[in-house]
Amino acid sequence: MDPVLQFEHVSKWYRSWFRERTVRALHDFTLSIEPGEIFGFLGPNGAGKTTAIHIALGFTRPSRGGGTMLGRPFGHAPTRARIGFLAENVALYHRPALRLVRFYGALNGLRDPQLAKRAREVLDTMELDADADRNVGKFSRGMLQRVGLAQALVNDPELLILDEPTSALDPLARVAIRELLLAAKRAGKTVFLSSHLLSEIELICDRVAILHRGEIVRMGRTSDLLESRETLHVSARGVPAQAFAGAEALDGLVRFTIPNEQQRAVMEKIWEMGGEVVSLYPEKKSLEQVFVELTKAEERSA
Amino acid sequence: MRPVLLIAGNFVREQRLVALLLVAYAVVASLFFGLMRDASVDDMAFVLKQELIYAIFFSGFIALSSIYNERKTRRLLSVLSKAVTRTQYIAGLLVGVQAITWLYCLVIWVGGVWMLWGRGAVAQLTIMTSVAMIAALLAAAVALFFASFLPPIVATAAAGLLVALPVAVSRAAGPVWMDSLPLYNLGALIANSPMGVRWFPAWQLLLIALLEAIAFWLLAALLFSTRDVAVAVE
Repeated sequence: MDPVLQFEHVSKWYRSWFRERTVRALHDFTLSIEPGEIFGFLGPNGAGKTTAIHIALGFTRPSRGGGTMLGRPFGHAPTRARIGFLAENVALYHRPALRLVRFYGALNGLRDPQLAKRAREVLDTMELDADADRNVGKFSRGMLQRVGLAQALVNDPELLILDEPTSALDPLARVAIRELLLAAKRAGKTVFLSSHLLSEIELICDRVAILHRGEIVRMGRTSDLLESRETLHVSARGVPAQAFAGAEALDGLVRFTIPNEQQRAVMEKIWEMGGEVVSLYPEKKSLEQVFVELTKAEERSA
Repeated sequence: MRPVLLIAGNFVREQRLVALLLVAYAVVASLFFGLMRDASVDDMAFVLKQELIYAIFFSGFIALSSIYNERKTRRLLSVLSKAVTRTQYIAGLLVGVQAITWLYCLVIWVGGVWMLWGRGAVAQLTIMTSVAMIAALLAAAVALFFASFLPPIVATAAAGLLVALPVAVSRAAGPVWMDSLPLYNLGALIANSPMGVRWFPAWQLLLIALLEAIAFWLLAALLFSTRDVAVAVE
């Protein structure tokens, strides 16, 4: 199947007026998002995440390279009728929520009665049905974010591009958005999710890319990324805890971690002592750990 | 066409205070001079002409800051993330600006008809109002062209220079150059039009203004489509 979103060797740099200073936002950035996946896009501030999204939507032109969105070149306006976008720091016109969502839906070519039905539905989904006739200028930041999501969903998009969608939401609303994104995935939609909330990404994303200084430093399936290739967890029975450095005894089991290269030696040691290996599995890191380790390593190498 | 009208309607809504002020000004001015018992046709015509010339300025000034405001508030991104081309977006702003200035012109015309009723000058007022509307369209298109790539203050200066250019060139190269960008000429036409006699402006001038308005709109759209709209403006 063709990728839903594809960046091919995209570079973007910004130049000051007299070209005395150049800021590199993206460098030889290549990425393919497959249909039906939830893709997490991570990176510290200034890594180039938002620039990549803006290039895909045609807000910004790449300095080099290009790409496609739903099979059409970046910036193709009619294709945008098939996507939903929520910007970071959502900025909306001050008008009643229902009218606002209808306005954005109409810009995507929706017409009544479908438009009226969809606008009501998405506001209900965002639990804003009671506030549908209130002006969004009087909404809290969390409510604004939910209206932003509603306008992104009103056209029932094939591809959802969300830049920090849950940053202003309370934990309950975050759970609701997570459920919504998982439901979108079940319905065959693709979600491209940029977020700083690593726990969210870890919970719902099939694949993750970590961006640093405009380049992808790690990309892969979330489960693979979180699995350490260097360290293993060992649980053994029938051996004394003192025999292994850093081991803890609990409920008759001795638990400890070992470097991967010591795997064979440790197994043999347990068996020689008459013990039994209960489990052996790679250490699982949190996405936060992976992210911090990678970005720090990149900072050091820079 | 629908996205253009939606953007235009939204623009008018966002600028409703400006529209309201313009309409209120036109109504109050008409009432004030219409109720003056000793005002002559010439006095009333002077006021109406002045109000119509203001429409050209208002049109330009409203258009000059339109793109900047949308970029500054970042609301532009929510519109351009939809199935809207940059050409449609600029067209929407142009139609929106015209809706406001043409409403203002219409209120002046209604006030003028009331003021001049029975004095044989309504037909001339209608022609003058039409000329002002076309000139306002051209002013907005020129302003949008500069606003598409320059900040408002620089765009204002650039638009002012461009409008003044035919006047300067005509002094050196002949009066025919006055029609090359007929904004000044259309303003002068309104100011100098006679009220008591049958008069119609040269249709070529109006045609040039209309064609140039389309050209500036297309140029604005072309330039705007190359702009990085996500870059923050200060």
